[in-house]
Order: sequence, then C-alpha cells, then structure tokens
Amino acid sequence: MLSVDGLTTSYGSITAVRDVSIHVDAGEIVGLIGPNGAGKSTLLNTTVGLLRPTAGRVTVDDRDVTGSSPDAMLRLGVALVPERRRLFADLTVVENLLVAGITAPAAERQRRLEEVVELFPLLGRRRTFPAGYLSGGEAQQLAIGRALMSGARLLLMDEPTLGLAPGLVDLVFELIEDLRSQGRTLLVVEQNARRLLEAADRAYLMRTGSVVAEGTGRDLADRHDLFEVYLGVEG
Amino acid sequence: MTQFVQNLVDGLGQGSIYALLALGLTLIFGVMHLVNFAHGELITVSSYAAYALASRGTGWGVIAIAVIVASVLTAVAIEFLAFRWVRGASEFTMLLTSFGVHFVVAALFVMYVSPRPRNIPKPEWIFDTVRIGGVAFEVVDLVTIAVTLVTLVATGRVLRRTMFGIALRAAAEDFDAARIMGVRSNLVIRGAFALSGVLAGVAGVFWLMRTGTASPTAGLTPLLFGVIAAIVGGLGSLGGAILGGMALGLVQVFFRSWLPPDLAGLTEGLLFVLIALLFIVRPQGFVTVRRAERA
Repeated sequence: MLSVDGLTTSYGSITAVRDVSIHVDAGEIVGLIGPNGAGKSTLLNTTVGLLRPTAGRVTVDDRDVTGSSPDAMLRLGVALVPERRRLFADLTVVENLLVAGITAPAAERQRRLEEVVELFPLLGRRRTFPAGYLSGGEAQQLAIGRALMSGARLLLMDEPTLGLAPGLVDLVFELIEDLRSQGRTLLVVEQNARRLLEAADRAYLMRTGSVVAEGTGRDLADRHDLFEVYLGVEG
Repeated sequence: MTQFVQNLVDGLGQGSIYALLALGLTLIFGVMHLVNFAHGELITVSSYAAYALASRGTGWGVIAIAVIVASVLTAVAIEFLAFRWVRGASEFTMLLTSFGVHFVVAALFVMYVSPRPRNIPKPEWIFDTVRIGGVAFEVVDLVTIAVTLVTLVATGRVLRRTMFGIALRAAAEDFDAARIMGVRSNLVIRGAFALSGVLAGVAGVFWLMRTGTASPTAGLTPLLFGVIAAIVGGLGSLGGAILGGMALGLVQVFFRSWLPPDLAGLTEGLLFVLIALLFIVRPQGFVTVRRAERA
C-alpha cells in the first residue's frame, strides 16, 4: 500500500533520515521504533509531504507521490496523527473535527463527524468545548478522531501515547487494534517499544536516521541485544 | 458631558477605520507571520479607483463598492505577485518584501499618474450632524460605526460558520497542523488576503470620504495606525486588533480635544509615548497570543 524507497531528508546540513526504505501492506499494523533523534518523525513528516525529501521515492498503491502536498496525500487516503497531537486549542472539538474533514464533500464530512462522535461519546459531550481545555485522554481521542475525519485508509501515528496515563495507553492500543479490524492500515511510531512490538505485525528499528533492523514484532521483541544497544532499556 | 459623548463617538468612528485595517493585518500575520506594510496600498489603489469614478460624476454608493472591489483585487494580486515567493522565508525577509511592494506601488502612481494628490469630492452629507438627546453627532461617525459593526459581525460569522473561516483560524493557530489536516496553503492564504482586502476596502471607503484625497501615499497614514492598532492589540489576536483600533481612535480624539489648541500638534507624539508606556507594562499587547512552532 505504502512504499518508501531510499528516502533521505535533510534540514540544511543535517541529514535526519538517510536512505530509508520501508513498506506497509494493506491491513497491517507496522511499528517504527528507535531512540530519540532517530528520524522517526522526520520519516513520517516526509512521507505525508510536510517535508521535502532530498532523495528517494514515496509510492502509494504503486503511484509515485514523492513531494506531494499533505492535502494530496489525504485525498489518496494517507493521514498523519502528528506528534504531540497538535490540536487547535482555540477551536472547538467540532471545529477541530471539521477542519480535519476539509478534503471531503460537506455531506460526507457531516456523516463522518457523527461517526466519530459515536465512536468517542466523550467527544460528543464536549462538542463546543475549546480543544485546549480537554484532558489528555480526550485530546488523544480527538487527535485520532481527526485522522478518521479524513477518511484515511492508512494512518501514520506519531507517538500516540506520549504523555498519557497508563490506563489511557491501553485505550490507545485497543483503538489501534479496532481501527485495523475496521480495515484500516497503521504505521505507528512509539517510544513504548515493548508495547508496540506486541501489537505490531512487523516493525522497523531506526537509529541516527537509518533503519538498522526489521522483522515481525515478536522477532524484534526477542532481540535483547537491540533493546540494550539502541533503546537503552532492559531486555 | 456633551463634549465627552461627542468625543466618544468621534473616537469610535476614527477607531473603526483602524480596527478594520488592524483586523486584516492580524489575519495575514496569523497565517503567514508577515507584518504587511503593503496593506496601505489597498487604500492607495482604491483611492485612484474612487478618483477615476468621482471625476466621471459617479455617486458614492457605486464608489464605495468599487473601492472594496479594488481593495480585494489589489490584496489578492499583491499576494500572488510578491508574498507567494517569500512564503516560509524569515519574517524579516517578508517585512522587507512588504516595504518593497509599498515603494513599487507608490512609484507606479508617481510615474504613470502624477506625484500630485488628486481631489475626490466628499459626499454632501459628510459634515451633517444629527442631534440625539441634545448631543450633536457627525453622521459620518455614526455611519462608520454602524457599517463597521455589521462588517465585524459578518466577518465573525465567516470565521466561525464557514469551512474557510474554520480553516483560516486553524491555520493561524498552527499552520503546519492545518496542512496535515488537508488545509491547502494557497487557498487559505489567498483567502486571508481577500478577506483583509474586504476589511481594508470598507475602511478605505470611510477614510477616503474623510480625506477626499487620492495620492501615491494615500494609504500610508491609515496603514501606520492599522499596524500600531494590530500590535497594541496583540499581533495575531482578532479581538485584540478590534480593541487596539478602537483604543487608538479614542485616545487620538480625546488627546486632541483635551490638549490646549497650541499643543494640539503633539497629539500623535503623545500617543506614541502612551504606546511606549503600554509596551513597557504589557510587551505582548492587550491580548496574549499562543503560537506554534513551524516545521
């Protein structure tokens, strides 16, 4: 479904992602793990067209979409749930959702809005609340709700559990499973590597801008050496 | 008391013009982080449209519509010809670009029209007054305030009820996040310029009615007050821009009224001293604006 080949992204003289190739097949949950500064977010941001790659190719369903704008990627069904959520704090819950559905026709947008509110009843009760006043869990639901508003088939999630209480982390992982069972495909970046590897079908480990290991979630989870060397956690 | 009420209405009338300009400036700043010193050019170009029509004997009703249309077209043209090319550049680069646009537009009118100001006949009712409760009000102030109110309410509705408005507010808060959601940069920025053009057009109508002058630098004075109002209000804040504009108009009128006649020339000087004092106490302006970092 999504394929990234030999992608390189630089900020000025700093190369954040170097010659990275990954692929995500329809219906998969693919994990992307690695220490801070490994280039995981840059890879996602480049994939959706927020940053321009200096080399490499991005294809969606075998169509070359390298350098496409984020709105063009959304129209192809690829949505990013950005790091730290990036909610519009001054906009209400409903307005946040509507903006995220901007690429859809008005009627379809309204239909999806009702769908999302049904999926997250908590948001339904907070419709006219400015998003800045939501709790961490509500905010994360809104962030994922926004991605659903785009009607995306492929969701790229950047650290969806960042800053959430443990109970809410479970909720997010349940949601990721739910989304997959609805037929969506997910590429998830997580600091909570153990947890992600349990949920993911396959995963990539990145370090200083490159993919240094890949395999099934279980394979990588069993590679104690990787955990100690690259992730700095007890294996 | 009578004098006070008169000054109040006079100040709000003057402040309305500044508020409309400041609101447009703050909208553009929100989506582009550009302090648009070429915003006065909307009034400059409009002033010649008004002059061209007035010299053919056209009435102010038609002139008003032409001024607003000219202002919108100028705003969109400037965005397309100048600011699009420096989008994402440093704020300083964009600031210099806006100065450049100002000088180019002024030079074009000097070269192809005339360096001398042209006279636009003011509407006959410009000096009319109405007495309400024993206080004489200038009709032009009342009309300015009423039209400004309607314009602000309509702008508020556009910003809250339309997808364009919601997208614009989202982009102003976090441009990259808005792009991630599928908001198209070109559309939202062009729209912001067009909307700022409508607001400057309405302001321009009343400014030109009062000054009755078309000149290569007709927009400079209103621009200056618009920029100050936007900054005083807290650049990027819509409510702040309106507040800043009204406050500026009121202080200007009250200073002029309170100062002894031979010191009236100090009005603007004192105004700037007051603004300097405000910035010592509240460097962020009336309203504090949250800003997201850009990728």
